[in-house]
Amino acid sequence: MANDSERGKAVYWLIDPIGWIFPALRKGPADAAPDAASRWVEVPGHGAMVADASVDLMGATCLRTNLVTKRALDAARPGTVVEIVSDNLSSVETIPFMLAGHGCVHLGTLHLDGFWKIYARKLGADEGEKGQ
Amino acid sequence: MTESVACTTEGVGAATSRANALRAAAVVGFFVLVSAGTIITDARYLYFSAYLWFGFIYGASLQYGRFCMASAVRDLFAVGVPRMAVGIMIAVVLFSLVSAAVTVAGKSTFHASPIGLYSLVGGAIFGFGMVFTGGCATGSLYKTGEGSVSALLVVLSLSFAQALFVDIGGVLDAVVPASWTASAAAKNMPAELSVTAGWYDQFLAGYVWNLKSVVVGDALGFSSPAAKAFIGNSLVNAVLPALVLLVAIYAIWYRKGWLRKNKLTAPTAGAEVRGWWSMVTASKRTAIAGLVLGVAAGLQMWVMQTLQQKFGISNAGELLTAMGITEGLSLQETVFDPGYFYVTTQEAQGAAWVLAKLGVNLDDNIFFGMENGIPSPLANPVLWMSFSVIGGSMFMAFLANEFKLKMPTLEIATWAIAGGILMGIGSRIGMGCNIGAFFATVTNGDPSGWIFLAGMTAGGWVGVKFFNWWIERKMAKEAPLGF
Repeated sequence: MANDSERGKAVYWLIDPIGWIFPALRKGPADAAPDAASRWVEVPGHGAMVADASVDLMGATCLRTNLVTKRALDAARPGTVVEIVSDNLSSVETIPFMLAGHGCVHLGTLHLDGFWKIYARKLGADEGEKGQ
Repeated sequence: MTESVACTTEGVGAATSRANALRAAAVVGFFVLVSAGTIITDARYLYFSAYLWFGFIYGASLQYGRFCMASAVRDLFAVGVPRMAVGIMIAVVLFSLVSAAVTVAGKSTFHASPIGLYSLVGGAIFGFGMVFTGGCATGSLYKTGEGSVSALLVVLSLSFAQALFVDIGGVLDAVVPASWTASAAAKNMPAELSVTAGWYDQFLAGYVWNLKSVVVGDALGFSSPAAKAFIGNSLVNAVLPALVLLVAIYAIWYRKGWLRKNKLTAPTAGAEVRGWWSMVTASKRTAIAGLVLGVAAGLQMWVMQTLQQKFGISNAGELLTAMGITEGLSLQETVFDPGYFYVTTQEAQGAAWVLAKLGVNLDDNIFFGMENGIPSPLANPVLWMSFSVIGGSMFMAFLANEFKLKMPTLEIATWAIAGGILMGIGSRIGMGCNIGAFFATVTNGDPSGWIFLAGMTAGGWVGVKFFNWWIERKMAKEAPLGF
């Protein structure tokens, strides 16, 4: 029996004739998401480091992107590097301004093909002042 | 470290693309062709082109600054970031100063709105809806230009919701206060409008038209046109309230972090001013966009009024009549023609034109039948501006390699349509959207815009609270964040 998500997708494709005509456009945001595993990344200006967590927000609205990012930053352990992946320009502009309020520093933003990766590091208690 | 926010690096996939530069050139080329081609056909299309190119500038600026009033309200309440609210206040100050100069020069096209609670209610519905769509009326237009299909759904649902809402009767007629019906009937309107049937007709003729409009420069009794425009309209109604809001935003959302960052425990007045200025200039991109928007919006009034004088008209309806285009004019032989930056009404006209082609009669109401008409999109100069806002944004997005065709999920599409409908209803009750009922009003001495902003902010706050609850509920069911 199909779950809610599958039923939702089925209804969506029924009302999406463009998706039928241009199958490439049917690649939904979830399918288009970049890889999200913890791994080494090259952060501009900071060299190679481990991204401890990647929050994939491809296709999400700005409010959802900002709210989920806020939760992710609060949940991150001190010292961890968080990667936020988003294709929402408004959020990409806003998120760096959110970081200090959540005890994080902005390491950089990477503009890739159709999306951005924002890197932030959660500060430890002893280095909190640096990030404010 | 927070200053490092500007360090966006272009990755391999986003390296400057020649194809995107060509696409950007094609977008400009298209509008140049439309503009030049129509003017060559008939010089009076210059009036249309003026709307078109100002729309293009607005679209490009909005995209460059990621300029959206939904962000302004939402980011403050949801994540405590004042970037966008600051940008809007910069635009308000600039627009009001240019408007004052334009008014003194006798080139203003502005008409004040009546003062009433309708602005608060309309603003609240609009603000609540825009939180769900992820963009205000202009924000949705520029995001459409960036390739967001979800934003396009917002524009469409907002447009059709307005077109249907102004004509709706039936059950809603039953909730019209008797005083509105009596007042509307007493105005002896043309019989074909049937003003005592239909909620919106009675709302307009029986309630809104009975309210008084005020321009602060007049209310303060200045006799000098310059004092009226610069002190009353600009300083008192726009600059001072904008500064007060900027100080409040600094005190509530920015000051604590800035003082902590600079290790200040007992700041001097000078330090507070530096902190405030740091907030104003934190996002240069947004501040620059606000500056361009403010100046362009003021200049548009000057240009449109100059063109009206050149063609000897006071409304584009006269121009269309002279050009032999009479289809879609209102009973007064006018069409919607504000002469300044406006967004929602022309989109309602576009939707009404489509509905009329499908056989829906929308001529028997005040909004279309008597005031704005339903011209075809090709004969609707203000709708040209909406299209070119999309075009300007698309141009800028291509130039910055930021254009991306994005299909929404079912959930996002549902929010976009539902929110767009609320925005459409809110904008009609509030007599405009974040641009027509706020940005263009407060900058021209009309305090009704601040009432709309209060409603929009309150609606946005409720929307953020609701959406936050929704996200929390949804995330609780999904996988944890993995830290």
